[in-house]
Amino acid sequence: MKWITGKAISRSELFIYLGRYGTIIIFLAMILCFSILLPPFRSRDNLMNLLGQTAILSIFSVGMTCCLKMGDFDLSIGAIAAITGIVVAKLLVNGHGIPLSIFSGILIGVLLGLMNGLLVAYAGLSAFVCTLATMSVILGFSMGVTKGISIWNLPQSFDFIGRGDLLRIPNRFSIMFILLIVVWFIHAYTPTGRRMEAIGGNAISARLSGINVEWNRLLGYVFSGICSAIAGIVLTSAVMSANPTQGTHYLLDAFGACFIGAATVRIGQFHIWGTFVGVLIVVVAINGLIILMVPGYLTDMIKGMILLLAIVMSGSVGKFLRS
Amino acid sequence: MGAENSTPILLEALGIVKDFPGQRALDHVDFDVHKGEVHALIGENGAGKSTLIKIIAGVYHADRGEILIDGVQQHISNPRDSQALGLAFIHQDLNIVPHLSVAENIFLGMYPRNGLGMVRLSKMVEMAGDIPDALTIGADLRAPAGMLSVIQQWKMVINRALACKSRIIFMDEPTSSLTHEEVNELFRSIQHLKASGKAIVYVSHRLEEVFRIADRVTVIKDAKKVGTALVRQMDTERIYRMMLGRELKDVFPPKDEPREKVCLEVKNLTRAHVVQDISFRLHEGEILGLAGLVGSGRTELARLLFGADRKDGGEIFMAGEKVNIQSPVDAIHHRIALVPEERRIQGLVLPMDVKQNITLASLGKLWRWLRIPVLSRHKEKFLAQPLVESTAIKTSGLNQIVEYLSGGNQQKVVLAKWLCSEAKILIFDEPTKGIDVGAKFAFYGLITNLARRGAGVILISSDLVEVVGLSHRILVMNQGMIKAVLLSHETDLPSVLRLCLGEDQESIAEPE
Repeated sequence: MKWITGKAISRSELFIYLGRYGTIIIFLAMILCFSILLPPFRSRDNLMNLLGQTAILSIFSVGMTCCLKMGDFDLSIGAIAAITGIVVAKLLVNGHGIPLSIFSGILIGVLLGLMNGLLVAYAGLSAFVCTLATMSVILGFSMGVTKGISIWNLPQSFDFIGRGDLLRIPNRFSIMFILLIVVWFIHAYTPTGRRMEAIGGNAISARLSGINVEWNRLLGYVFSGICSAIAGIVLTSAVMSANPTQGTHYLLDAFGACFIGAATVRIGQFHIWGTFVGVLIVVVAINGLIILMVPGYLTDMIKGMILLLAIVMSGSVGKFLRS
Repeated sequence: MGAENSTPILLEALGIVKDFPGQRALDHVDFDVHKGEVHALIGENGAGKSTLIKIIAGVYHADRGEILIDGVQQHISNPRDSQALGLAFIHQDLNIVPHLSVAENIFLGMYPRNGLGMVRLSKMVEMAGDIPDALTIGADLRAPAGMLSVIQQWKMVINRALACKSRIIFMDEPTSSLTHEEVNELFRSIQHLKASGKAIVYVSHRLEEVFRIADRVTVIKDAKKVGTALVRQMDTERIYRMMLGRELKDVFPPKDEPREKVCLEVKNLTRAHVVQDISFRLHEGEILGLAGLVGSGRTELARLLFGADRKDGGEIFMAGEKVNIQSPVDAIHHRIALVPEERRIQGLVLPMDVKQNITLASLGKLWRWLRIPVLSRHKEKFLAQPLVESTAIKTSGLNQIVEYLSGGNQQKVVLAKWLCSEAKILIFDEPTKGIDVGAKFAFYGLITNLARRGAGVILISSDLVEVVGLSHRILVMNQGMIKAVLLSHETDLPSVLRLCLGEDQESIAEPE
């Protein structure tokens, strides 16, 4: 009789362990399988490509994590990246300097984030509907500005952000890394991060503990806007052109990455390193599918299913694992 | 009227034993119900009241003991059996289907059908009128049940019980969501049921109601029956002694006299439709009780003082100076704290740990370097550890996630949060709701100690024994206004209850 109970305990412990580190195990397994089975996967070119994709998706996801952490979300990240890219490209094409153009791009992100934040946190609109609406407004606007035509002929020197490197480390990878560290530090070590975590845990208690909930949610949206703008600039620099829907497809991937993150280690909570694991999984999975020459529609379906699975893992399974 | 021994015994439970893993929930408990009586079943949280009711209802199965209905032994193995035997159970959240009509709710699960198997609303409305001894609901039977007031819903559910030909109706904490008028209305309904020969089992932990409505009372404590007695032969003190197993004066620690200095003065505080024209003074070292029923505006007053809601008028003075409290941020700045009614929803961030919850309202104290907002883990521990010890929180450590602490310990974490913020005025809203007896006594000690050290305490509680026992003065609130100010050593439970229920103060001596 005794050995049965003993076995049951170890089995449930194993299950919990698998649940918490499952995403990391999946990531390692994917790397291993793809490396062995797909020769093109382990080529140097593909590795650089992977790093680039990781950088851009990470920058988006870091901003989104800031919103999700407080129970908010931002559907307009792709749209903000698109309009930023267009503004920066237009300024550059019209002969303005690179610093001014980048500054303007980030300012756009701040302002749009501020708009989302005011509407959601202060005016009390539903985050889903509100950011869906602002997404549509922004996309329509950028379509109008460009008349649907891509902007080319950016000054060659602009490519240092997306294509350049410092000490053989790609610059976009450095940007990603700096953002990850900064946000991690804010979340883990500053009063602001602690307040944001409290709001995510229970906004009512947070308010009754003297936390300015609206202000912190607004900050989350502004930060999400800034990250999206940075992602838009990096993307524009990487492809040396801007078009009115550039970057919009990162929305679903960023959601997937964040929810996989919420199913990693601290189940049910959004946190920055979990999100990073999520980004790696999404990027590697998509890359593998492309190498396997899986048709686009199938890739979309698989991405959707990954997102669903991640939501289930972070939600109900998480609840089970914690109990 | 009432329950003499000559009236027939409808239900008898003999020697009921129920074990839950690790603890005995009921230990050889006897319980009987006579025809036409109101039998109060009282005890602290976790004493075993609801377990007993659930066994009679067939939700749980007794490990030992038997249940006799009309002297015949019955096996009640599920709720359907108990319904067939004429037992009805009304839980405080009533189990109504809000968008179905009143008539459909009354006949829920036993709809009359015509030859085609279709349900006819008109037939049901007709039948609802024919239920013997039915209560007058005072609403259209075709209206959705969700539109009814709480007391109308109660009557509807009672009528459902009558439609099932129930003879014993069990009511679980019926008054916890009723206003004072509704409580009176419910009591009238209970009298009506009694007069028509039904028996009512009234489960409550509110002593004062027992005296108003019950004929007999059975007290359960620590899974055992303490005794059954005729209510008219009892007094509050004795029942309380039975419930707690000790004298009242041992439950409530002795308190010091409040100091001269006024720490909070409220003048004409008003919020439309909620509280009107509230004025009072709170002294340092004073515990001011707020008594009143649901809807009397106590919680709303607390939220106004704390800045959680906006006031429409009135002024607040602290130490003689007018203060402007617009939000909880302002209130905390002025060292006011609120221990809210729903600690899990309003007081704690459940997924965070003990130290993070304790320091949540004092993050400014955790800055690592002067003027640089980086949290110091060292200061966090340094601040939280002494508070965990002084409030005696039983936890595996500062890193324990608060979700998994017991109710009493969670409440202590909320208190520790405000001690960490060095609050001078503490508002407690139902501090002992849903926590076990031991934790309750510990909390009484903590509150008394706070006052002794000079804090001003405002105590809101539905447990009048608690309000009278802990407070120096009592404000009785009714319909958003202060109805009376009483000195607790000059008053007693029945007079406080009468005032809560809206009766005038004439018969009660006016204190200074």
